[in-house]
Amino acid sequence: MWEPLVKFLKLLNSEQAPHQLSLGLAFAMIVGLTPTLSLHNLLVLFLLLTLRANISTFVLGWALFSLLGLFLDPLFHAIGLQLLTQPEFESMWTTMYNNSFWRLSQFNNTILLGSLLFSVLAFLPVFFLFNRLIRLYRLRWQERMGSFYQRYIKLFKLGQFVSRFSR
Amino acid sequence: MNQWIRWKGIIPFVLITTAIVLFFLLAVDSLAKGLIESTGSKLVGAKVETKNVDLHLSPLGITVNGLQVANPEHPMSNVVEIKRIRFDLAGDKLLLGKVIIEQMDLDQVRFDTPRTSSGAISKPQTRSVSTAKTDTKATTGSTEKSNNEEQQKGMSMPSLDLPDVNEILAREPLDTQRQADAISASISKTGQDWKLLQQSLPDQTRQDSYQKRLSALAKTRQDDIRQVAVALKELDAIQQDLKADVGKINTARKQVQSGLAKLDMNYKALLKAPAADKQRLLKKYSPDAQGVGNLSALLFGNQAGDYVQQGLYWYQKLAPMLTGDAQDEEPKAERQKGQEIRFREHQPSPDFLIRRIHSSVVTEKGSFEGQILDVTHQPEIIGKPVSFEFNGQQMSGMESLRIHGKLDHIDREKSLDQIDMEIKAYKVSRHSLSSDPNLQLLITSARSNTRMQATSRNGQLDSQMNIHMDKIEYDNRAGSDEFQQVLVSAFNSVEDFNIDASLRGSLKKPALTIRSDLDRRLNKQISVAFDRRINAYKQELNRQLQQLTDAQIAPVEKSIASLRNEVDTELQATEAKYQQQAASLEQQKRQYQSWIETEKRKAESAARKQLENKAKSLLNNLRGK
Repeated sequence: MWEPLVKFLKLLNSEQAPHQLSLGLAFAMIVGLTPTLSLHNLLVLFLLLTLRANISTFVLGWALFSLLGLFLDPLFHAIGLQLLTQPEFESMWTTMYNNSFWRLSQFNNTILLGSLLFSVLAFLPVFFLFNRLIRLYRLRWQERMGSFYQRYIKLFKLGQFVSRFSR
Repeated sequence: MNQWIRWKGIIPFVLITTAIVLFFLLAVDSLAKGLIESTGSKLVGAKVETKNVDLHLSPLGITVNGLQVANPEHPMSNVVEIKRIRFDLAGDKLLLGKVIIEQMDLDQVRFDTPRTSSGAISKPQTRSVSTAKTDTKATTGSTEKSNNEEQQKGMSMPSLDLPDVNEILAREPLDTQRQADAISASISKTGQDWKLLQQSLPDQTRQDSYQKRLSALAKTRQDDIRQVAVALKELDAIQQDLKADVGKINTARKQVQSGLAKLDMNYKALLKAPAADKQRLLKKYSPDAQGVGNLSALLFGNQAGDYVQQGLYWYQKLAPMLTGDAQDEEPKAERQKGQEIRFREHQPSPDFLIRRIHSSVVTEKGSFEGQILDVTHQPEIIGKPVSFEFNGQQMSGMESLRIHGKLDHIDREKSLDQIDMEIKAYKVSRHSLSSDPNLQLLITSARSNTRMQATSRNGQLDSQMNIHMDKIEYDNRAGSDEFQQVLVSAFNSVEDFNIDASLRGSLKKPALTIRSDLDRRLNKQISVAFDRRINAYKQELNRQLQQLTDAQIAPVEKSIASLRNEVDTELQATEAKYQQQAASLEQQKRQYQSWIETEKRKAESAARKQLENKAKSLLNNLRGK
């Protein structure tokens, strides 16, 4: 269970640019919070692979945001329901509802619309927030955490060795 | 720019996308097969299996081969087996999330086919629809007990073997006995009450005291007016005491008479109890003539009840799927599911629609074909009901078959489902009417014409069916039972008969009634044998019941008479004594009063004389002067 954390610490301490790490996390937020099998996630996958986003942080972030999504579903449902039942938007939704592409996107699903809107709006703030946090970490704590991390890695590897030997 | 864009990333994207598409194309058949089998099994409650499922892209469609739907009630048989199902999907509508099928072909549909392995699913499902509780009762008219047994074992003929009278009387608590016990307790209670009352009545000592007081008064000197006056006062006092005692006796009499009146009333009820007991036992332990007479219900009731139950089970299971009545629940927002909000469509079409299902059905009596139109769970969108029509001509086992009808749920509040069926010249072969091992009622060959009209309006059933059977040949055999022998003999003379069945009531509680002219034809011969046996049984029951009840009633009658006699004797004797004393007292009182009157007159006369003498003397004195 500590392996993802170790990997994350490893990534933080690597030579990867902060914006690549935070871009991976921001994309992970969209995929993690919205229903996985959705058309927009194909676009996210394309952007993830073509932009220089870190795929490891994406995978870790996906797991993290999926967990978070479980608790936020009622909120997303409420947002989606509010939007889809607004009389002002009805003509727009009706036009989209009669279009095959938009119907494939499942925009009329309350959780999908709510979570997608939430994660798209949160995309840039999350990107810049993680970017800032990673820079701060590297500037202030990387050295101190580095020695702790080195010791932890040694202990972790020793533990793995003992575990394998004892089998 | 290159700091942000990874041109090489396009390659894995294309590879991943291609892999997904390839996986879909390769695995879709297996996925579709699994989906059909799991969803079908969940809906039916038994295994739904397919040989293979083939998805074809141009035109987009699906072929399902070897579909078997197991019977949840009988897992070793299939409810339906379809050799091939083929349909094309409208691709453009599919993108809008709609399954629109212009034509579906069902080839070689077979019903009730055997299975090589059990079709039960590991977790046995109880019937989720209300037919599990459907209580289809045929109007048999037989006893409750025999009805229940028939439900379990299938139809068995009634027997004239009546139960033993001694056993019945030993087993059954009699109302006569209960009432006799109750009245005996009441007699005992009334007797005790009488004893208590006796204690409060004036006893012999008190009665003697009056005599003594009267005797004492006899010594009064009648020449002494003062003593006579005192004696008169005493006589008044004795009279008051006597009146008080008589009052007590009257009150006691009223109380005892009230108790005795209740005993009389209970006794009258007790006299009627044996007759009521007899009626009850006869009703409970003897099949009534009407029940034996209603043979059509006995012969066909259970089988018809099974058919009706099965029919209603599948009707209630399938009709909501075909008409959309099952989808009224508000969808809940679940993780990664949410709620689908629907908007007005420019060209409204249902989410699921099969415009035409063409089907060929194979039966042991030959094949027939038909079509089902406009199958959708949203009939209000297309404005058409689900309709169906099947026709068979020149079949091997019947002349013709026609089934047509509709399931109209366009207006959910006014749903109307109808089915009409006509089967002409159906060849009946080796059809047994009895499950009794001692009685064989076997129609070896016959011809039947069937007409059925069934309607369900808002869940209220109104259905009629008529079956006419003729050209009947039997192979009937009976055991030693008299009734069965009579029945076989009567049946052998029947060459044709009609069965009329009606099904009414609600889907949850349908009432099946079966009538046949068989009743009239068989009734006469059966009734004679029945009446002969039942009359002897009634007489025996009556005799033994009378003996038993006589033993209960006689002691009760005797006890009441004895108590009444005791009460009357004692009260009458006491009252007689009091009357005698009262008369004696009255006589003595009159004597004293008469003497007082005489003395009074004497005193008046003397006083008058004295006054006259005094007046004369005064007058003389005056004259002398």
